[in-house]
Amino acid sequence: MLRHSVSLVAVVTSLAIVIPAYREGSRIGGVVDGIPRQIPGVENLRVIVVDDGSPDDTAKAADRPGVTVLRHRVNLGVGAALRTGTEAAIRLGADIVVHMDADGQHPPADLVRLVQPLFEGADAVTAVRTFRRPMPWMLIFGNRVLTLATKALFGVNNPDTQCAYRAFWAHCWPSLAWQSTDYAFASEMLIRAKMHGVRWQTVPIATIYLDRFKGTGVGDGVHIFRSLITWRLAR
Amino acid sequence: MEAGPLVSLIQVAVCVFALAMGYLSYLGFRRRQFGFAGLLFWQVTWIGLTIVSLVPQPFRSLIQPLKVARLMDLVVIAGMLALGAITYRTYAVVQQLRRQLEDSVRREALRDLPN
Repeated sequence: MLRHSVSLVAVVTSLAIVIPAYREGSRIGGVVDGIPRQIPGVENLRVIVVDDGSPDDTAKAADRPGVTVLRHRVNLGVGAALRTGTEAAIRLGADIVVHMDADGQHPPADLVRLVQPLFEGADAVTAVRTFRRPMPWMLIFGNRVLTLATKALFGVNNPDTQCAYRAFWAHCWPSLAWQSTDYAFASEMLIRAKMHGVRWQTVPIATIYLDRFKGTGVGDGVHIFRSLITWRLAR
Repeated sequence: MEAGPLVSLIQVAVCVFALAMGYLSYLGFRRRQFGFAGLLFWQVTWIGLTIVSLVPQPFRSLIQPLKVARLMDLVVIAGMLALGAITYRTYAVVQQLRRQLEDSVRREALRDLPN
């Protein structure tokens, strides 16, 4: 349903990078500074950081010229923060929305490669990590189980359903708009995309893990799996 | 035949529990956590529990028509039904509040952006 052609490159004027951040005061500045200011085919690049109720100075650390900092007064979860950021990006006129983690897991240098398939006809692109070290063993196992479950239950053929580095055309948003406020949003988004015929492509990226104790945990994995079962039964 | 104590330990425990809960309900009312209707509901509940515990005889007549073996079984069944209803109600309210909180927080975060 959602088709583009190479000629659309000419009308792309704005790309917004949405970064959900919770207790990332020590890293968010470096991540924002590492984002390239020039991307082929993009005239205007905007960075939106959503501080998801952090008790530290995350919002202050991200605040610099050219960066829009939004703040949740209370911690709602990564899904809610990305939803807020995505809506902000669209209100600010973004043609392309990019999601990126705040902890440095996603190399900003890969941004150009990530968005390239959008100019070649894709509706959306997700990065794909390699399931091997330095990713913790438990996460390798969890990611594999969730990816297999998403494929078995919904036919979503994405090798890394939980990777949060993604880009999509802003007009795909109604087909992707998720309700989950937590980590389950990534699976929900892919399932909605499948239902609405959004064409996804994948781009391999390096696997970087800087902190073993942040991000998706065992409890989150169990919750995502339970959500997958619930959505399947509800369909 | 040896006579047992007039009031058993479990009856005393139930009375102390009901008394404490009655006081907490009163405090909740004074702190405006709920209104007079809430206070009335909870005080009737705790007083009813105390009466059933201290004077069980009149309630034994309910056992036969309801086909339960003992009064204790009836109290446990009623308690479980009440617990189920309260749990459901609490779940529904928490979900509703969570949704309202999310909407409110997100709306505030987006407040200064163009529509």
